[in-house]
Amino acid sequence: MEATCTIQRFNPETDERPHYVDYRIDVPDGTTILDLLHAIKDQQDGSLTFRRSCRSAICGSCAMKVNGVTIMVCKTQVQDAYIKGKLVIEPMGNFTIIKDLVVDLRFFWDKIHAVRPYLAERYSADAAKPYNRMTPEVVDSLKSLADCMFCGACYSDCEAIRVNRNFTGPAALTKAYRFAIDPRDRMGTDRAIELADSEGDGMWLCVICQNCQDHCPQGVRTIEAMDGLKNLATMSGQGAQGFTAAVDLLWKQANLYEVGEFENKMRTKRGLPERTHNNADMRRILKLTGLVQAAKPALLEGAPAPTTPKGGDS
Amino acid sequence: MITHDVVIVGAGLAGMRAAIESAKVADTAVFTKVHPVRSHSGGAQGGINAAINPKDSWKDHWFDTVKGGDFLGDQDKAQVFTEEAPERIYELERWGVVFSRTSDGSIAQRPFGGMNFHRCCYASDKTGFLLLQTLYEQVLRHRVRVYEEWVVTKLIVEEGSVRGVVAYELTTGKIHAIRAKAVVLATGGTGRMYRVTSNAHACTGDGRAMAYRAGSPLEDVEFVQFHPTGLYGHGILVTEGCRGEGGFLLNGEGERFMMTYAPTKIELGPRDLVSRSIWTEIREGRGVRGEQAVYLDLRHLGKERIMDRLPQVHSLCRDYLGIDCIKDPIPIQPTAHYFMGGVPVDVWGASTYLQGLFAAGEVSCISIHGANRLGGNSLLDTQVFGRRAGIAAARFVQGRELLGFPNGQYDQEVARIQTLMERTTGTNIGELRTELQRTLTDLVGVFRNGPDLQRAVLAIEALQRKAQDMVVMDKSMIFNTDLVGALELQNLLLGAELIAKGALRRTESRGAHFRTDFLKRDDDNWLRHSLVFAGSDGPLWKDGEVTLTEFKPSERKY
Repeated sequence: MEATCTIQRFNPETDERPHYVDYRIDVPDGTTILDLLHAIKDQQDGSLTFRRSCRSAICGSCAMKVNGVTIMVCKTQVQDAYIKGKLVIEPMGNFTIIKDLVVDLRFFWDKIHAVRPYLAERYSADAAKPYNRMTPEVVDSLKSLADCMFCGACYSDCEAIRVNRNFTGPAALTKAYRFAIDPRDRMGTDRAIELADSEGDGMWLCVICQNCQDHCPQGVRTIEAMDGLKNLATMSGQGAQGFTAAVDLLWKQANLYEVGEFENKMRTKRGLPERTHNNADMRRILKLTGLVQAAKPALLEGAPAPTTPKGGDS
Repeated sequence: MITHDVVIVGAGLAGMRAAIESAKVADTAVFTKVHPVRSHSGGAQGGINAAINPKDSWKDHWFDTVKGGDFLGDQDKAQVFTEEAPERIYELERWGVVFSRTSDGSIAQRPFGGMNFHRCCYASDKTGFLLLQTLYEQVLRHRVRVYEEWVVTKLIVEEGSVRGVVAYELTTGKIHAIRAKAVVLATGGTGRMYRVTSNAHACTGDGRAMAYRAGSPLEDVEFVQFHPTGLYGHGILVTEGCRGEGGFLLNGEGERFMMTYAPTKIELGPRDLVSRSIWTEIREGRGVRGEQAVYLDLRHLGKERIMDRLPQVHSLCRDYLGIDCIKDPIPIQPTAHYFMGGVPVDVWGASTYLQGLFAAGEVSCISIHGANRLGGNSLLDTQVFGRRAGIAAARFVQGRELLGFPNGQYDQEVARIQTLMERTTGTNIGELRTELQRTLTDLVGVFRNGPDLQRAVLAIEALQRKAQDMVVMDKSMIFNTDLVGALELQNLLLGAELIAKGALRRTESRGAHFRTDFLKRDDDNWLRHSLVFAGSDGPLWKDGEVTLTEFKPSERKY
């Protein structure tokens, strides 16, 4: 079939801003979007610029936005992406464009490098035990996490990074988690604690839109990894500041703020139930859900019996 | 001027392994045209060989390697290779590679072609990928300086010793002169001269072309390995691990034809033999539905085993052919995969022809793989000899003075690039590349003969003349991939010329080099390496001795 495809172009030496160019091109069956880009480059415009290498979905070079979603163009058929006569190819989002479809990945690599993405060996070699034994079950738990090929798609489509570039981001956090749960790693949980403590709230900013996991070309379970890190940090007493503070307030006064008489009057007028500071129920909930154990275990040890806080109506 | 004691060109498994070692003691920098994790080492799927099972022996690995190479490999070097293998595997494991395991926690091993033991350590079917990740992690850990997306275009040699390189920095468009006391080439293979290849677009034989132009010979270039199972129509690798796990090869009539060609090893014969067998079936009309393909059948392995051991193969079949290999057989065809020949170096990766030149991995020819490399031996090659080249290069530069840099050579290289950039009319790069790839796949393939090779040589020489006025359409210097493509094409054309001429010259059949007009291996005349030097009137050929130590050449049967 013949297809029209629209490509965002930008030459830093001549263009002030990116613009779109349409190309008409013949697309035989089985043509991938990467084949299509090559055909345009070879036959129509040699200056069309994009990264690619393995063309078998393992090197991570060719992540781009196609019809608004970041994908690997080498493994995507034109026929699958050509919808209602439209195929729009743009560089990845959340990155600075270098030229056409090539973006500057330094921001991404800085995030990756910052999590110390290498094994801190627990054991050194000795003749009796030249390498670490590891069960197939542990291998299974690491396998998908280690599949990340650093293509950058999860940063391109990340809603948290779009609004706050302090967010460490899915690929780097996944890498950190991959080592944190590797029994061979000396740092282990400390990795989560460090990240939890780091300036800029690096690991807490995820808005759980799930784009990273849903768009990951390798099927890496990034959400599971980020949740895992948060759990490791929280269980070690390094929960997000807001979370710990909230549990503390709920434990002490069953509300996040002090409820006054006036507010309860207003509530009654509007037909809403009164808010109380009776925290016996709340404490039971906090214990049952494990939230207090996770956030502030100190509260449980020798905690005073519930009392009625001042201003309470009960 | 940028100056480093050791400059490593290429950041795949061999280059990074060399860098980790060299950076411990010497000022080291890696220059690579793609980011390290994009390197094609990551395309390796099946595994890495080492005799780590107490019931196995490195001596058996040694013999299998020599026999697999049809006795052309140097046996003393293959001994070093196999003896050192277990320690390299242990090291990778300690660095964090997620190897697949057996139930007792040991590294799992699967059978691989041409070997008499289950010797291939693996990480499902992503072994190269996971090794590459781990090596990159170690590069970060050792704080190795990496110049990413710098395309090295020329090796600078003066009076027989290496002085540095010239590199084009993609993001700024600048062309740099880089001084060095030693240069380690680790640029990988050159599959992109073939239409059907498993290789990445980046595999354009830059290192071997640069070494040859700078005065190093190339060794055994005529030996090109065709992997038996490339995804039909794409050439994308489908791992030998499929057959290691028990997959069958079926012809169009549903027969397991390998029983005829390799009665003992069947599907697990060496790659040269399996590829020839597949082509024989196709040529004799027993391909699949009249196409140039046969089937790789995994269906009997079952969903669980396929998804556990071969998940990448499953995805590749789905994404590229739209088939589910749990339910359907996979159409495959032999695909240009690996180049046994390259820059001749010793067991420390050092050139004996140019002082300060080192090479490791696929670009090198040590020679351990001889006329045909066994599956699972190339990843091992990168680790054993990458490390050795790093140690040797670092040792070489200690206490050695930085020699003068011939600026004239840099100016010439800049002029070469400028000429390409300034030309506005002429030959289209894409057309030339397509024509070259068609020529090689049609005429310098699994089965070769004198007249075809003769035609190939003429065709390649004609393309080289046309390439003299090829046109780079992109006229900007920042991230000019069109320019890079033109420079790569020149490397491919040179490499192709030498392969075709070398194949024409070797009038015997040995390993991956099979001549239908010279069917037999001819030890009397051809149990020798071929060495090709750049002469003033084109290539000059010489012969090199093959080192035989333990094993007497015998007929290969599988």
